[in-house]
Amino acid sequence: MSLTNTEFPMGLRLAQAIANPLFPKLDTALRSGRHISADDLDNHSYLLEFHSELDVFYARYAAELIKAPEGFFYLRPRPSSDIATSVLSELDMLVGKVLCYLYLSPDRLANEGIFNLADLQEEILTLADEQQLLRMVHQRSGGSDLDKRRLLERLRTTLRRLKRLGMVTALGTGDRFRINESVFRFGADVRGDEDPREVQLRMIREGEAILHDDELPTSEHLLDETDDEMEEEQLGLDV
Amino acid sequence: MTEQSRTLPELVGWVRQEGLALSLPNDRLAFLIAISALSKGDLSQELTEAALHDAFGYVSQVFGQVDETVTSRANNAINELVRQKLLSRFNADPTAGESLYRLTRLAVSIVDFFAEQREVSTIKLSLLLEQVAGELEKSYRSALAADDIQQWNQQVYPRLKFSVEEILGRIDLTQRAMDEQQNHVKAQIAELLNLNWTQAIHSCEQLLHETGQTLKELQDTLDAAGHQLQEGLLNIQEACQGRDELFHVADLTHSLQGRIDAIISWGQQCIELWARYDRHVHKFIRTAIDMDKHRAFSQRLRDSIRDFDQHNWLLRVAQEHRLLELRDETLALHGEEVTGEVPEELEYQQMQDLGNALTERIQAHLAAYRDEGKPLDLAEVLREYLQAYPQFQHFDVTRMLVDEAVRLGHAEAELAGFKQPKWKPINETGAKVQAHVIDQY
Repeated sequence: MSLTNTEFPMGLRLAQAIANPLFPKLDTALRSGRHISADDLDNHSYLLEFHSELDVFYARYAAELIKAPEGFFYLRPRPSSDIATSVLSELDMLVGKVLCYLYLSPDRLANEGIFNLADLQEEILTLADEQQLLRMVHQRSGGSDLDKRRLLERLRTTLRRLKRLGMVTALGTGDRFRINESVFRFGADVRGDEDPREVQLRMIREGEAILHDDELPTSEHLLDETDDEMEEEQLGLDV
Repeated sequence: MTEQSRTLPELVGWVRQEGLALSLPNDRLAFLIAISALSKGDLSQELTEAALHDAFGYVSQVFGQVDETVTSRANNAINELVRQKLLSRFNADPTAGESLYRLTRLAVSIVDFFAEQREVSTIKLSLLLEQVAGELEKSYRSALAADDIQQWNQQVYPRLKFSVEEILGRIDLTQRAMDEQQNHVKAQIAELLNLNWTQAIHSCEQLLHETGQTLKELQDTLDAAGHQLQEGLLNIQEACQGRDELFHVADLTHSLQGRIDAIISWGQQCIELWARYDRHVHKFIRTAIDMDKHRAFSQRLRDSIRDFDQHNWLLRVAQEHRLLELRDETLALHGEEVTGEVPEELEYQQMQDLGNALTERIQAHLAAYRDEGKPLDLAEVLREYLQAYPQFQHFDVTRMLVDEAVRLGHAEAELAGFKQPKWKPINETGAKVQAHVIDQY
């Protein structure tokens, strides 16, 4: 039997979903890791409508189209999937957690949920341990001004990455942005009052996350990572 | 010098030259407010030095400063306030050396700003607006009655300048007080939510609603009166139309119009901004509070950020390798529908092709010499040949011709080791060639 010949024709609803003009862009966005939150009105309502059909569609690539309890959508490829995945860095995780905290913080109501890089930096420095932050930027960081500048630069890179993932939405031309619900993924381990370790294990089992061991990343690994980032920036690809 | 006639650099220069400065640390400000509180009870509003010392003593006590030095410190403080133009000193009785003090305009405004809760109400605003309208009406009547410029200058202009402008200034201040109140309410809402998440919702909504309501009422009052005010100003403008000597009056009415417009439009903008804030708070209440009923999540999140060194998982996200599709674009650029058909003359010709064509021509020209066995004197041949070409091509053509010529044969003289031949000119600009005559093919 030829592979091009299938016994089951495509369901009408799925055909409709794929024929929708939103599909190509959205499909590309999802595959590049983008989270679609309710603020993205068209795409979100489209996903709501065709969720089950598209889930079947992506299952053929061994990926799941997840609808989070907070209402946003994203693609979760299984390890066997044809769609490649990447892993966020430690700094990305920390910034993500801080963003999630900010999302819930009433102190920031007055500026209507609009933040800028300076706010974020300030929040991160109050919430997290500065020494540890600097260590993330540079292994033998002594906390010099240069290290701090480097930290700011890294924060900018991280924020750019999170923008691409649809965790924050850039506003205007400056550093200002709005936080989307999808940052809740960063808080997943402490979302409920279960034991965080249990939750982490479950997440790792489900392919949401991977285990991170401090011993593992060698300098080589870190180099790879920065190369990756450089490449991304040079190409200037913003999805 | 009036306000308008000063440019920004002049103003800045003036402040610098005069060395104007204000500095009020916490305890000084407390002293100033204490003075104001003391003078309020006294109808005459004059303050004796003793009264100032009392005030200072009290402030000093509250701030826990040492008692011994209180007199000298009080004198210092008083002198400093006088120097900063916050207190005016009058020598009531020069012989006794006693002075009287009064708070200056600046000091009163400062105290006002910090200590007075400015009343923002529609009644006050309506009263102010009514006053403006009344003044405008009076100005208009005097304008109609005025026969000469003298009367204009006495009846109309001062009323507009001092009365109307002043009242508009007060309306403006009311609006600024409203701005402040909004910020205050915002802070209050944040505080309420911080204290008690869910129970605060009701009070927040109430605060939001009330502030929004006040803003709207103020704006309605302004809108209603604004039209009338503009009309009054227009009437006056009409009255002074075509009279060049009344230019200053017309100018003033224009600036007043501008002010009224600005007040009304700021009010409008305030309402819009507040509505946006209102929407945002509601969304926040809907989403954030719903997701985190008892703020336990926030707390845990905070803890997990603090103990980040125990964090041991990283999020996985899909990231398909990007496809770089260059082919489509390349094709698109070269497609005929993009470039169209190129006219014959513009067709691109390669340098190589040109060279080949020229070489062929030169070969044909030189072949005659070989066939007939004539000696080939390069200089002669070149001089004749180059005449057919423009000067800028001479070098290239010569190079080709020489290349071709040496391929045909060699010179007897060269092999025999004769001395160097003479340089011979080949064109009009002085290019020369030195070569033996080729005679062996």
